[in-house]
Amino acid sequence: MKLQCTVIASLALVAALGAQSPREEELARSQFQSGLDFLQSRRFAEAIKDFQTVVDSFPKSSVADAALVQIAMYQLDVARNPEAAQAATDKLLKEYPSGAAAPMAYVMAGRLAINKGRTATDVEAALASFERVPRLFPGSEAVAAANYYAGHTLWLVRRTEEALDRYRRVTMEYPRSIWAARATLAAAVCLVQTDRAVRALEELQRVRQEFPGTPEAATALNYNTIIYRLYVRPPQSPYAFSGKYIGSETAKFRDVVGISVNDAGQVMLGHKTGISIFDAKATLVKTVTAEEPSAFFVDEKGRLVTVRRDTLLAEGGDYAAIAIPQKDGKLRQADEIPSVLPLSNGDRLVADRRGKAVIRVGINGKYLKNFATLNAERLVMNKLEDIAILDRDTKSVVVVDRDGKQLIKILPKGTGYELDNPIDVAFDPFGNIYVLDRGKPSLHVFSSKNKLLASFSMPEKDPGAFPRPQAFGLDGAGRVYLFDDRSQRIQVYQ
Amino acid sequence: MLIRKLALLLLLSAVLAPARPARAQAVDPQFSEAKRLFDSLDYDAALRALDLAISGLEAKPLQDAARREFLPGAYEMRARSKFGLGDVNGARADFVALLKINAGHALTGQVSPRVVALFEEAVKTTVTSVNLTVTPPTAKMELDGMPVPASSTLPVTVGEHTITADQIGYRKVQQAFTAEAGSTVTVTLTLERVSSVLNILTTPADVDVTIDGVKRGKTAAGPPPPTFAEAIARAKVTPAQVSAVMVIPDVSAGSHVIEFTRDCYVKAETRVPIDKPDDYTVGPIPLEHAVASLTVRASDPRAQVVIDGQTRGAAPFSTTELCEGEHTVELRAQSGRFFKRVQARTGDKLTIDGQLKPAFAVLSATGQPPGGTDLRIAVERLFDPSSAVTLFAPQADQVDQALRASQVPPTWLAFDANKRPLGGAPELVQRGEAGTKLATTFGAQGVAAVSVIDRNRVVLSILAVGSNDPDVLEVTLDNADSVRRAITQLDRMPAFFRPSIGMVGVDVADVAGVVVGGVDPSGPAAKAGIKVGDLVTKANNQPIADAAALAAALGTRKSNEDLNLEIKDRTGAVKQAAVKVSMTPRLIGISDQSLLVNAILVALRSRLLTPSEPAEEAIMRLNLAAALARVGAWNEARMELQNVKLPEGSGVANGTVQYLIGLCADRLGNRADAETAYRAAAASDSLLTEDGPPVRELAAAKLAELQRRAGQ
Repeated sequence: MKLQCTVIASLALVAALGAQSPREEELARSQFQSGLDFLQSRRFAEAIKDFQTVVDSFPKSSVADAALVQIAMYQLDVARNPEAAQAATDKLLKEYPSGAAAPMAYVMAGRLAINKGRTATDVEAALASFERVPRLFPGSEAVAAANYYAGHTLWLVRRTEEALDRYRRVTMEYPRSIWAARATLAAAVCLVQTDRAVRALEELQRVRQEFPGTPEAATALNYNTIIYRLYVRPPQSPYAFSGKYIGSETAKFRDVVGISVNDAGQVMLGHKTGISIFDAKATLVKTVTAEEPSAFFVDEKGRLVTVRRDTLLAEGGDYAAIAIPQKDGKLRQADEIPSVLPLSNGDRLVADRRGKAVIRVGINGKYLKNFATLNAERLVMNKLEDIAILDRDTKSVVVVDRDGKQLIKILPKGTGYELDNPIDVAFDPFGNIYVLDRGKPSLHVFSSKNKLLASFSMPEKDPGAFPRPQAFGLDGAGRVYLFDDRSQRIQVYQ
Repeated sequence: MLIRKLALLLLLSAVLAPARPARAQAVDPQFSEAKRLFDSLDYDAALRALDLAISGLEAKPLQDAARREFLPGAYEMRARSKFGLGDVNGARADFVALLKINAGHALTGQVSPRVVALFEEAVKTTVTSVNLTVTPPTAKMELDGMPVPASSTLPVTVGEHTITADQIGYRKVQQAFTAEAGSTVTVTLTLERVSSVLNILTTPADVDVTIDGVKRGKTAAGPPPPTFAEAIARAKVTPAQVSAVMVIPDVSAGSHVIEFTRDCYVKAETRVPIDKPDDYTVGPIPLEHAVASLTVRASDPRAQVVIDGQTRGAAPFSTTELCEGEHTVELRAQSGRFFKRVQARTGDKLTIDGQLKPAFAVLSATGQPPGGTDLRIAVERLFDPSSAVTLFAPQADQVDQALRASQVPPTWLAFDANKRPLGGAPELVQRGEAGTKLATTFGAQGVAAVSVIDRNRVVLSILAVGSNDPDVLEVTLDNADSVRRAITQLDRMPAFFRPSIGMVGVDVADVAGVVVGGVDPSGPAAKAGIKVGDLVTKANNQPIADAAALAAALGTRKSNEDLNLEIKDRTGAVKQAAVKVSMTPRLIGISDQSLLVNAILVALRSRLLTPSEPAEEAIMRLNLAAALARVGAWNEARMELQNVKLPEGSGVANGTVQYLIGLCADRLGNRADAETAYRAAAASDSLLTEDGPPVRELAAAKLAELQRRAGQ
């Protein structure tokens, strides 16, 4: 050991003597690490500032290319600014073609290609960029990332078996890389969607075994839970009341318009006087005051946006008024909006009650086009950007793709179920559709292929019964957070 | 009276004269012929022959041994021949000439008194004596260019002569004198001391002598002359132990430092003050044996011990004669090598317990600035803690020679961290062939190279014998964590078996216990009636919270032991199940890019040299085959697979073997064998690795691909 330290020290001295500007390199590395630390704590503005400093002030340092990768990833994934992401990627490919981060530049290029659209041209461009990585950088771990995103691209265009093949390649070739964990999670989704849910259990468990303590391991636990609940556990009892309530008995929330549960386990309840936010331990942490909101959502910047009459009002004061052009050319204010869905490119889908339509508007509220002609009560979206529309008039749930093309329609009546007054709808991570029926208080779960997977109801007198369900949300493990008008609290089922 | 004196002198000179050198050359043929004729009393013919012989001998240089040996005799024979023919004057002249050549000459053989008288007459007129005295008496004397003893009385011909005296440390003296007939001339020479002389003795001999930093040579083997007996006795050594004298002339006044060095001896040093010109005796300087003892033991009983490149015998090995200094100690066996550089100091008792490990010879270092530390040795030292492999750097000149012989460029094994070849690298197969040849040359199980990427970041490439595809490992040399990570990666060896009860337990939120997510239909769990969806709540009476706890409980069991489980089935009914634990085989992922397959290859080959249980051997061979397939050695992989027999069943089993055989046959262009193997695999329940995927799906895809290719 002592000999090793001596050798290391003497080599360090040799290296230091031979380095061009070690001081600058040291500064660059410190700045880069600072950026990573800010990124970890989601302080994106500070993080980007640090990365940009590295790129501008230390372009010859060993971390300048890695800083550009971080900038590109932020612009695409957080800022939703594909143009800026493209600029960073292009700079990376041009100025650092052989750098350590060059392989990831090709991965980013592929991601940007599929972000543009899902036409055959977009898909081929994306796949070609991903395929460059193993060809040009055969030993790089970015090959795992490239194969993962290639699988993701194929999955987005519903080439599920090919996607599964790519994901399998990642798990076989890079079993210890975090991309193997992500690929396994993605493969599990494919397996569930192709009716091989139980097979996914073993693979997901491997993620927990090989990558303990990671966010991927936590996701695997959630996925296992959903699969167990829907496909392994006896079908007659997919849920049971957990005994947990969210909100106090005295709170008495009224006119609940919706429930949302985010990845951190925070529960948001929209009601008459605003949006109440509860942490994962069910403690009320904040109430955003709003006067009789009809709906709410969280935008791409993480801001809570409430909907009142025709206006979308974001925290911080930004607002957008929704006006819909009529046949006579005049604009009509959308005065009753029961649901709004933010899309990945910043557009919004707005349920126009009066017009009995779902319209597409821009981030500034400007009308773009008609999306669907349905009297939508609720709009929800899955990871494929398929949209489930709860049609108030027909009491059915229509699932369309992001271009509005119908995929499935859950009718009010089918084998093993009947919807009397469907009031809310949600997707789980696998794309299964959950429908809450207020008329016959029950929750039904359908696969993405319109197969009834499970139904859940409770006798009225049982603790946790929900005789007057109003809204619900799902967390990552498929737990149901349901607001019942009788108890006037959120009740949790697992 | 005078004649008697002269006769006595002649006698003395004959005694004192320097011994004639042994005949320097064969007898002059003319001389021989002349002698024959003289001896046969054919004086006429002898005279003619002697004329020729004498003219031939006269033509030679004065110092010529033949001239000195035969000319006097020739003159004598001619003189006697002339006398015999009545030419007295001629005889007399020849005697005078004879005496001028050798003043101390005595007539030989039976000589008539008249000849003797004539000779004595010549002596009387031609020879006189000189009394020589020289100081110091050890000086070398020369009389007319011929060495003569110092301080002696010698016969000398009448006439002019020159005497010289010379000795190291003295100024040379030359003096002329005239010798007159009938009187002895006395010549006294005194040499002037002008410089000092060091007479150096060492014990032992063969010692390098350096004076004031200037090397002067080595002391030769002795013994020294008796004049040094006193110095030797003072040193309490025997003359046989002492070297010959090393004479260092012309040493200036002052203090001089003399160093004495010899391999395996402690360096000695002495200071000699020289204040006046004189002879100084230094020594005998004793040198102490500088050795350490070394004991070498080996983990492999077949290992040979090699020290500094020389094979010294089988291990265990001991020596008490390991010279002080740096040495390389190696153990070499078929299973691997142990390599260590040791620094021995006098009196050390070194013990080395060598663990032989498969070895990679580090042959090349690319991108290193010239004149720096040998990066290969730096890497050798940094990776010394590796428990799986040895990296060693053979001598640079041997490496250069071997690389030239293999005709590969210096960058042949140079890669960057993304495994892109640097410089002009040979094709894959050529690299594989060169690697195997070079590894064999150096008695290693593989070869390695180091490529400098930037600053202190390097990429280590390793290539096992028979492999066409190297592994690369990036290391930041001055970062201890980076080095540690690299060593951990190198040492990562897969386990070949793991305990199993034939079911997969999965974690589910909000559920206390472990849900059974999968059951092997032919495994112990299935036999115990456990089904998918059951809940394991206890193992060996201990509550089980999650899958990790169940795995830990399983890990405490040996093969064939029971693991007692409490199970809640899907109806909620509780039951107990005793499940037998089995050790299920594992297989490395043939596509797993994170494995250093070359390191695994050499480790497996080494392990297979030691006999093991048939089941374990079969799995090791299977893993070896997978590793060989991964590096493109398809033929060798196939040969290993032919020795692997596994039962049918789920997990890693016969179907796995068949699938791999199919891959090998496919790659080797043997379509029929590939198809047969793939069909067998497609009909099995086996997995490619213990975690999947099922080989039947993979084999089915391969069969489809074969058919597509056939259609094309």
